[in-house]
Amino acid sequence: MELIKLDNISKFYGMGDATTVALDNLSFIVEKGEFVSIMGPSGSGKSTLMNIIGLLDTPTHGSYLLENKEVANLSQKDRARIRREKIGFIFQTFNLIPQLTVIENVALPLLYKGASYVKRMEAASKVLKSLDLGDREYYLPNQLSGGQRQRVAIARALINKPSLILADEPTGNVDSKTSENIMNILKDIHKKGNTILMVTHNPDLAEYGTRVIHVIDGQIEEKNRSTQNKKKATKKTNKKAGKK
Amino acid sequence: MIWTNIKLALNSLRQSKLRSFLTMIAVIIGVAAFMIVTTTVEGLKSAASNEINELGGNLITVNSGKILYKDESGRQQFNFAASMGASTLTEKDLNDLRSLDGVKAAAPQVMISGEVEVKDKAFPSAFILATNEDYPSAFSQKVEKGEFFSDNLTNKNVVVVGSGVVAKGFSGASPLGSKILIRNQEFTVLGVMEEYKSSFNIGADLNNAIIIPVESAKELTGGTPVSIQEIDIQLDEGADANVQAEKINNKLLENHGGEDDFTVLKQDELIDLTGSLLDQIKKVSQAVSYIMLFVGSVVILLIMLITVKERTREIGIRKSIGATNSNILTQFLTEAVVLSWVGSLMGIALGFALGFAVKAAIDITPTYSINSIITVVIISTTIGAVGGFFPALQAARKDPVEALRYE
Ligand SMILES: Nc1ncnc2c1ncn2[C@@H]1O[C@H](COP(=O)(O)OP(=O)(O)OP(=O)(O)O)[C@@H](O)[C@H]1O
Ligand SMILES: [Mg+2]
Repeated sequence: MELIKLDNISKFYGMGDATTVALDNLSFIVEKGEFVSIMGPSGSGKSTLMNIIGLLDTPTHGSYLLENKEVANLSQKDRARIRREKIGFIFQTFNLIPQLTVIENVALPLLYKGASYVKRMEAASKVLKSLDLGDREYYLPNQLSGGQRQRVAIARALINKPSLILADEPTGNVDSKTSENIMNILKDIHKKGNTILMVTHNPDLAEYGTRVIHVIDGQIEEKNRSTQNKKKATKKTNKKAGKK
Repeated sequence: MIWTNIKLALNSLRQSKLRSFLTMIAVIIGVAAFMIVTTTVEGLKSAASNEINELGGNLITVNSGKILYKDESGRQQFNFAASMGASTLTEKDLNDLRSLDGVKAAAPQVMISGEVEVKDKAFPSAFILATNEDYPSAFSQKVEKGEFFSDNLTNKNVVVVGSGVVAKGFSGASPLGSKILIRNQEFTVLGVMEEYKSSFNIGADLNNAIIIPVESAKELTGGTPVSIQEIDIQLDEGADANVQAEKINNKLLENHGGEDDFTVLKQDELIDLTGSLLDQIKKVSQAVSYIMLFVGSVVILLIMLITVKERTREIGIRKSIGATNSNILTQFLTEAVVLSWVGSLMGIALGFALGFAVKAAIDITPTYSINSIITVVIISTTIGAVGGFFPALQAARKDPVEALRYE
């Protein structure tokens, strides 16, 4: 089943001579259950693509079907509802709200869904425990390490049980060991049936995906990976997990 | 959601206490000013009505000039200017009213200007009031020491003084038989009035009165007819005030050749009148506090604009996880209203504190009503909502991607 179908999507910034073409007639399909790694040079349009898929931004031209429904004509309210119910964002800079505790940050999406306080706290606590953050619930974000913060952000992205996870350089601000930890978490999430789109600059991490695409100058160049490659990647992770 | 928003608002208020306090200052002062004006005037009103009631249950006053009229809405209004002209009340009016059926006593009030010397020293706080022997019963006031002048003493140079004159002029010693100089004429102290307890007085402090007979006043002013500003009438026990007021009115109309150039007021009308006078004072003073509250609203607007700018990234984050525009609007609107509420709460507390100060300073007990508290709550909600609306709208309309990029 096609979860995402982009057809001739363009995104322009600015006007006249100063126009930047961030996405250039890009077409792209993601099947349900895929784990797509997105690579490409800086400024090639990866984040713009993620924002459009995540309904945070709108394309200048083109059509976008999410679960076979055109999103162009959705109201602001409906877009917010879809973000809340179907999409979980993970950002490079974590984007936690500094004034709120870890558990409050994680529970926030449920607030906008209208869940009661007790339900919100219970659910947040459960997700945090599953990510080994059970003892950090009442910390503030700035009292945590980078890796811990990103795990809190992942917990927040997971709390509404979204079908689509959008991770824009989730390991961009953490060291390589922590990166691996985060990638394993994403792998687990994927195994449970989630569709994941992840932007990364690291070819090794891109290997975690079931498919790797390259965005260059606002267009997609797909590289079909050999089965051999895939096996190798699986082995590698198994080894590392075993060592731990 | 609302409760979470309130908690969130209190949280951010706590995080920048000084800034929040500075933001709230105008609201605090405005609300305190509103409270103190409202409650003091209410206190004055009840003090005034107590005082008028102290004058006996069945008082009717007659004033020179048409000092009252009814406005379009039928409310009694006061015409200050009309009270300032030359008096239209005559001694014949007085005598006719005294002899009316149902009238127990009728005393004129004639103000005399002139220097008063007590024990060879000038006594500037005194005022000279000329009246007749009906004065004590007209005002239900007792003579504490000595006696009030009676008819047969009318022409003699005698004086009855208020208790304040004894305290200040005679250092509390009995003044009976002493001499007081009025316009360099010697008067003998005949009696002392009981202390007049009310703290609130329309006009002058009756405890400082130097009371002389009308006939003596005539001599002092060179034999010209005295000008009667007011006649105070105490009715017989059980007399109907409405009927008597009508009779008095008719008698005066007859005396004045049909000219309606005087004002007859029953006691309850007198209470209403002071009430409406004080209400006007209240309105004017409240207007001043409204200005302060308007300033408060503008300050909240400015600070909320800054807050929204500072928290742009937070807005982007909230939107990315599914907050709608109206979620964001509500959040910042709540924050502005909560800011205003907390300020108002402090203002109410300050208002209470000032209330004690007022009581200590001028001995008026402020009257707190549920109404004034409700008004403050409504006002402060409005201030917060008005000041917070535009910034909250700005927050709600932020583009999520731009907001997330904000550093
Ligand atoms: N708000 C904006 N206004 C103008 N130009 C923009 C804006 N946002 C992005 N761009 C431009 O669009 C292009 C694509 O940007 P985008 O952020 O998608 O790149 P990216 O592939 O995510 O890069 P990186 O790997 O550095 O994160 C860039 O040339 C960028 O300058
Ligand atoms: Mg990017």
